[in-house]
Amino acid sequence: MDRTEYIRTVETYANDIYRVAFCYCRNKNDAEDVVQNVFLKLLQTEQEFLDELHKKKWLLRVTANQAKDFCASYWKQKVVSMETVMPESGVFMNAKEPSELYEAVMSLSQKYRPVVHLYYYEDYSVKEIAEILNIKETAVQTRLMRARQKLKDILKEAWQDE
Amino acid sequence: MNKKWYKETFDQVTMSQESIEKLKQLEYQPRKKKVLLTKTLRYAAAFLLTFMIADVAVYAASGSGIIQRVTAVIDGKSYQVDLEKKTDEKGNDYFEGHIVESDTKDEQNNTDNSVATDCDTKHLFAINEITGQMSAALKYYDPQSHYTEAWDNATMAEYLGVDVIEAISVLPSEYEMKYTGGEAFTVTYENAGTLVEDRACYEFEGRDHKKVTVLVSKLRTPYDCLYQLDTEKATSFRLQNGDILQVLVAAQFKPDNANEYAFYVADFEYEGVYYRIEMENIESYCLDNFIRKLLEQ
Repeated sequence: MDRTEYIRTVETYANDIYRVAFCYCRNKNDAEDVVQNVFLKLLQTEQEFLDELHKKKWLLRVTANQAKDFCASYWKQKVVSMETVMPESGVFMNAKEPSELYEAVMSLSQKYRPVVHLYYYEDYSVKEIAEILNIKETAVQTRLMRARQKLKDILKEAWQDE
Repeated sequence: MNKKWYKETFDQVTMSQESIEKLKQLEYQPRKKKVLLTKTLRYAAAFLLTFMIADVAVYAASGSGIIQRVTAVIDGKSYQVDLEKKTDEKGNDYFEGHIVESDTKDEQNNTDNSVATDCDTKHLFAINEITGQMSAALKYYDPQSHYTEAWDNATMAEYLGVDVIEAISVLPSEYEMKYTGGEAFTVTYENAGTLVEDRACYEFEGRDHKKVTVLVSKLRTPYDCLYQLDTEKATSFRLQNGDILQVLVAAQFKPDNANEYAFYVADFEYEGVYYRIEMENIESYCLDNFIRKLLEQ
């Protein structure tokens, strides 16, 4: 990948990758670490992308893998990051306080959050989510269903039935 | 409606422009970590030795101010290196090594194989030509222009502001950790009286091959190697006084149990003191406790 193409890819997808990483890590610094690792992987890869759709899915798949590895590392589990003991700052660039939906999504368990995000934000189908996260379609459906129920329990009428 | 609400909410989760600009600057370079074994470890087979020519200063354990031929391992290959002691414009001594090139092709290409760096590098190592083994060594200080003093633990503890021997007591008593280091620490001064070397090495051993090594210095990072292990991560500790300590931790899994660590290394700096803590065959939660005990004395 040449330099121009790389920079364009960063400009286009950095925030998308960051949001997915954030779903896993739930803090800004760790999510940025994951994003950096993803773009390093992009620089290293010899993968040929068929089109932008293919590239984005590849990036998100790498993000999910990198974020999972990161969260699974012993030190990540052992050490409490500053953001989890103090109110998060700087996550919402423009808003003053996190919204109730944000709080509700972040309160879901880790296996639900990326599924929810890829469905509601990225508009991916169950099949596409399964490919990106490398899980079965039935697992995606189950997690989506359970996540929706939990969001309904938390958000009540604000979260519409689907 | 749910999707609209979700998108509106998470549109606000973005990286800073500064972070994005840094991403644009990323360049991939093949990973070359400078790694040197400072001691034989039970899982030594897992470690990789790599040297970068441009960053290595090679010096012979004996000899100064002379040209001496030594054997060095660079990028996994053995080379004969001719060493010559020089002084730069700032008055710092350094050793310049020229690889004795026996490859005809390189001679024809007039490849410059000189290796030079100033003495401030922390990547010095000594070559034992008799045994063929490499071991880490402190930077070379010319005895003509330096002198040493022996400090006991109390003096070193007062200088550093931490008592490492006291801190080891936080490890479980069943580990039976004992201090096995010397009775005194050697520090080095320039003849003019400036302290130039203050590195203290504390070693503890316990039952079942448990070991703790603590390297401390106020002048510079006290270690002379980087470990290339199974995992490495910058992590955060919150201390009692609210300070957030940033620690770089590298760890090696046990060969028979990928969920347990055989060896780990923590590097950090706090209040002007540089630390490296190495622990072997010790539960990893002990690292947290030890660091807190050390810094919250």
